Amino acid sequence: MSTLSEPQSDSYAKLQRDAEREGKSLFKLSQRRLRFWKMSWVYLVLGGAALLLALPFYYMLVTAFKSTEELASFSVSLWIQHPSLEPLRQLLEGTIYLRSIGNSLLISGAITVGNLLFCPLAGYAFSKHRFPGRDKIFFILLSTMMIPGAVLMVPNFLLARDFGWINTYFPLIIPSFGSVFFVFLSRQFISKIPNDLIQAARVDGCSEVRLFFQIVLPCCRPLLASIGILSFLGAWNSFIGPMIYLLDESMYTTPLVISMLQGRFSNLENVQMAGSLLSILPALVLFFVFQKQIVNSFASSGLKE
Amino acid sequence: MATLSLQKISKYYAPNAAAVKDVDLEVKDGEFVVLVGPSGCGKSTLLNMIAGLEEITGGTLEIAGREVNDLPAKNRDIAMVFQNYALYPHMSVYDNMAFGLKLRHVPKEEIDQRVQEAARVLSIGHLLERLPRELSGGQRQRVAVGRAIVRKPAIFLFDEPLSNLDAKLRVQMRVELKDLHQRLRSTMIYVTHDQTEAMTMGDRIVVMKDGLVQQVASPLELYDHPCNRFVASFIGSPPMNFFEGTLVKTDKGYSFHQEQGITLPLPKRWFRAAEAQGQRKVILGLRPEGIGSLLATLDTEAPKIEAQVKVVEPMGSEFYLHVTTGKAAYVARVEKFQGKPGDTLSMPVLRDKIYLFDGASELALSVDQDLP
Repeated sequence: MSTLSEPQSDSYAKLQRDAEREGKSLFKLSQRRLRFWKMSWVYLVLGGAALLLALPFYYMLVTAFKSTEELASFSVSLWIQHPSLEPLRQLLEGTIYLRSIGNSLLISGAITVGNLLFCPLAGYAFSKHRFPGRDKIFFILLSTMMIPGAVLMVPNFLLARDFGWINTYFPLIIPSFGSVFFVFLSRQFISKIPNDLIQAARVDGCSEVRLFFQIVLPCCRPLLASIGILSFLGAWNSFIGPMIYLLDESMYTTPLVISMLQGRFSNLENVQMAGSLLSILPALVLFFVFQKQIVNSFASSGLKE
Repeated sequence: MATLSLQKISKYYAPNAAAVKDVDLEVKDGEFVVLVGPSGCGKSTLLNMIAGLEEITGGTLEIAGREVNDLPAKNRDIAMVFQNYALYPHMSVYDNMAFGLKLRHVPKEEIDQRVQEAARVLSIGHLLERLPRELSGGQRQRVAVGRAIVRKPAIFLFDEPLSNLDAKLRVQMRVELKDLHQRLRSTMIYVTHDQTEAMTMGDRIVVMKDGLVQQVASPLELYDHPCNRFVASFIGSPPMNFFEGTLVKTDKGYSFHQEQGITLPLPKRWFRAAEAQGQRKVILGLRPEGIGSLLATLDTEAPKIEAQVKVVEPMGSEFYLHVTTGKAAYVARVEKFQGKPGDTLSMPVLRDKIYLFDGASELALSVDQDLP
């Protein structure tokens, strides 16, 4: 009996000590452990999936710092023997990469500012103002989201040509100001702002413009974070638009220059990877700086509700 | 401070959908008027029209003798306190209160002086630097009131300002608002669906139903002389008991008779109305506090009804007895009760707590006040 009961009492005492140390009841602690083991297989699957997703990024990272010699000696390798900045130097000196980053920043910045200004304005009008045909116009706007982008490519190009916008940034920037998705997002978010708040501002003496900028917009920080981040990243990664409208190489955006690397450095995978690595840096910086806002924005921007 | 005049004010959302119909109301300078009624009766719409937040479809609205129908809210010299406080979430308490004054280009020193003064009156001086989300419900409501006070408007408008507070805080704020009115002596229009708030706070009460004003009177006038069954049922807690039946001529005068329900000899004051009513159906109204109360037992000539107790609700200082007579079920409010459910009681009815309404129109029948 004693040989059987001793180990049991030992483990029981250990559990009790753990529980005391953590300030929890024994029951709660054992429940928590049980739940952990039950969930462990889920963690295992998720961990595997995460690794699988991270693998291409890791491959890009290590390849970008491989010397050309090392790249030639192994077909595929996940390790670096001799890290080198040579691919980066080749990329920056042999291409207009830096200039393309400037171009991309200019276009993405302009689109982001435009969307931040115009989409909440439209959303505010659609959600808080009554005007004839409001809901019909909104429905028509929404239905344009169903039209595939490829269908509009030719008509858009013809329009841009007629405006004399080919080989300028206008066809990339101006039409992006009225993103239907962001207008929809804004309308949903702003409709959650209580009407009383807006009416209180009117009674206080606010004009409509002041009301929008001083009362409505400050209440929309999560919305602005969503629009800002999504529209910047969307513009930054855009490939088809710049490819269609930009002819002059000096005006190229980063994705176009990266696509050129395949031809110019066809055997130098490390230079191509260096280009890709540099291009995702702004996205990474944005994510780390605005991590909290990104999570908040998707939690409260109407997407989940 | 100002007078307010509503002449045939109407609001139509569609040709046949009237939210408010032909409202006539004269509010005196410094008066506290309460708009009361059930949800959807048009009281908030009417308040919004006074504020300038809803367009007026018909009629004339005057503030201090000046027609303001087409004047935007900001130019009407009114301040409004909303049900959900409507504080600007990104501004501190101080900025919330000062916002309206800044927009009106009031000098900085005066803004500061007015905000500090209002904060002192409302005991929120220690909260001025806080954001609205850091305040409790009661504190937020005080800030909302403070935001209105600092403006020193001609008219204060309150749209169910206490609805979001818990019962205890509501009673406290009710007293504070009444006290505030007595100190400021400003014209105030207050919307509520709570008849207790209306009774305790208003100099005059406007009872509304389906966009129509039913009666405008002082709280006690409304309670004692409701003009129709709706007003009688809305004012008073527990509400008045109603019994449908006919009037029967007896040896001693007239008596109310209900099939399988109560039969009640009517006091003399109702004889003339009963005679005029003839055989037409009537609705008898009995206030719960008029049935079996101490005062009724002192009246030796009070008519009596036999009732069986079904449920007893002890309230501390009084008892609500849910009783039946035949198939009629009703409530009596008594000061003392030592019986138990199932007991049969003979309960005297206070003669001046008996009301009669026409069975079809539900309008109150006229009573001879001078008679017993």
